[in-house]
Amino acid sequence: MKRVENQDYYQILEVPYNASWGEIQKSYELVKATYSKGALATYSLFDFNERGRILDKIEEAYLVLSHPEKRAKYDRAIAVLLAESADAPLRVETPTAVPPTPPSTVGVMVVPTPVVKAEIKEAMPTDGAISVNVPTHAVENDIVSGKILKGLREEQGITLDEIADKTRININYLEFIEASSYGSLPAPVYIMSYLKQYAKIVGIDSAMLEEYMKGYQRWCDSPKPNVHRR
Amino acid sequence: MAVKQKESASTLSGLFEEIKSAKKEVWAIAGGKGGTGKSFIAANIGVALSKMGKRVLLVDADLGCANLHTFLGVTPVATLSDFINGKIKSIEKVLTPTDLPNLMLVSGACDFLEIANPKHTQKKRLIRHIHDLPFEYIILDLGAGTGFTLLDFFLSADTGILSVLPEPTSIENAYRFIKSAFYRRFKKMAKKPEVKDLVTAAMNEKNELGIRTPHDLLDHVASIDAEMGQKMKEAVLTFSPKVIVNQVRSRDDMTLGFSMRSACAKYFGIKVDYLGYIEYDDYVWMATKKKTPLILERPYASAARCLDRIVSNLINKDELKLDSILKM
Repeated sequence: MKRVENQDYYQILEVPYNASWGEIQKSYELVKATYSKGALATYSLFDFNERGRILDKIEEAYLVLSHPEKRAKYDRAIAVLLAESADAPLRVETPTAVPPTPPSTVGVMVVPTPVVKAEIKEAMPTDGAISVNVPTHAVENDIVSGKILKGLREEQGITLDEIADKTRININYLEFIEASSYGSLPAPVYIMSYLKQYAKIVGIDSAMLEEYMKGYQRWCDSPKPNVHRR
Repeated sequence: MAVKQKESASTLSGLFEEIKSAKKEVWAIAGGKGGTGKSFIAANIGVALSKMGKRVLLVDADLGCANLHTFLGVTPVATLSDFINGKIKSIEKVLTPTDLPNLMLVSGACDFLEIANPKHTQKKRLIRHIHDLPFEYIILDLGAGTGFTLLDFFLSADTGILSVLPEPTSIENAYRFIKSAFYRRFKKMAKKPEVKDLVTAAMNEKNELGIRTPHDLLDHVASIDAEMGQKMKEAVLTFSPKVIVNQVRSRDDMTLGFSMRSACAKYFGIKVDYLGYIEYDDYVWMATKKKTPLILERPYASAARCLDRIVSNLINKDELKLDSILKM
């Protein structure tokens, strides 16, 4: 998990990415009370200034996530960044440890605050290229890849082992899903069931799963090179 | 006929044992502060599970101040101290049966002073033997404090559970316990002496390196040894203690677990699950006075129902939902 400064708005408010307005509202009230003056759960861990900073972040996050339009924009921005970060290994957050990469990628660990403050428009291309469907540098082009799922999962600090443990899904299949290795996956009906269970734990919207399945379908339809067996 | 039935039953149970031994779960209950209801919770979770037909072992690992047997109203035939000092070679002989057929107890040591601090090899042997016992659920009732023995027991479990009271003293100690367990684990992982020293230094809250939070520590470790920094970061993901708030009297007390979850995520960077709360209930001390587990004595008391919910969350690896409190 990340330092508060580097958490995205969903992590700040401690809600899943598909949280409803009601969930956001309730969680907002709770975290606000948690970091208020003299609160039982936090007074011994955070000093006055730290609590103040966290409260500022909470307000900032709430302003965006409670506003449907702002939230939609923000969602598109993080979906892109998450897909990129899924490739990179967990990075240690010292400035020196960060390899020199273009600003948008560095942002992955230090995201979205600055991006959103600049109203996303300035930071991102506006011609519809920013959406979940954005081409990642991954294999497939305009669909939700396993990488995005992986990115979302890692954001939540959930390990694959945990999901395998809770759902009793073979961990290899989970890995194949995240690697988008469609060829290694079982029949579509199983994939869908796995995805649903996966999504329930990670907190992913069902629309994203449909997008993922589109990618699978595309792979099914595409001609495959003949495998020569002896 | 009867013999035949018995035979098939025993082969069946043998079969089950094999399957179940693979799915064994060890839960440890700690809390930092004394008097937060660790033994009460351990005893009642054990009873609740055995009522569901699970084979359960309760281990009173509060070496030195054991009294889990009192909650169950049994007198132990032998205790852990007999095993630790070698008087009894096999840990099976230390098992004390209880009134419930599926529930066994390993009673803690309550005599020798040195037993409270067993040697490293004794401790390792004890942990290994306990984990090898053929039960579906093994529940370790740990004592108060943050001693190394206690931390090692806690870290050896599949699930670590913290019992806290909605009071500043208890919360402070719970955080101290989490921090100690966390750093103990880091220290065990660390190979290089300079990394070990760093972890030791970080445990002192006013250290000169300016390490305030676990995040700072991980950054420092990474600057010395990038590989170890990475490993420790991954270890953080798997360290996920659970919290029970005991003796709850108000709605603020109930939401305390969520607030602790938030504080742990933002300060320690770890995911803490809030298993649930236990309402303050006069039937609790009445049952304790009668030396009967609450769940047997008053199964419909509010505290007993809270315990049922906690057990179900534990089994299903679930946690309390914020909605369940706010709707009240």
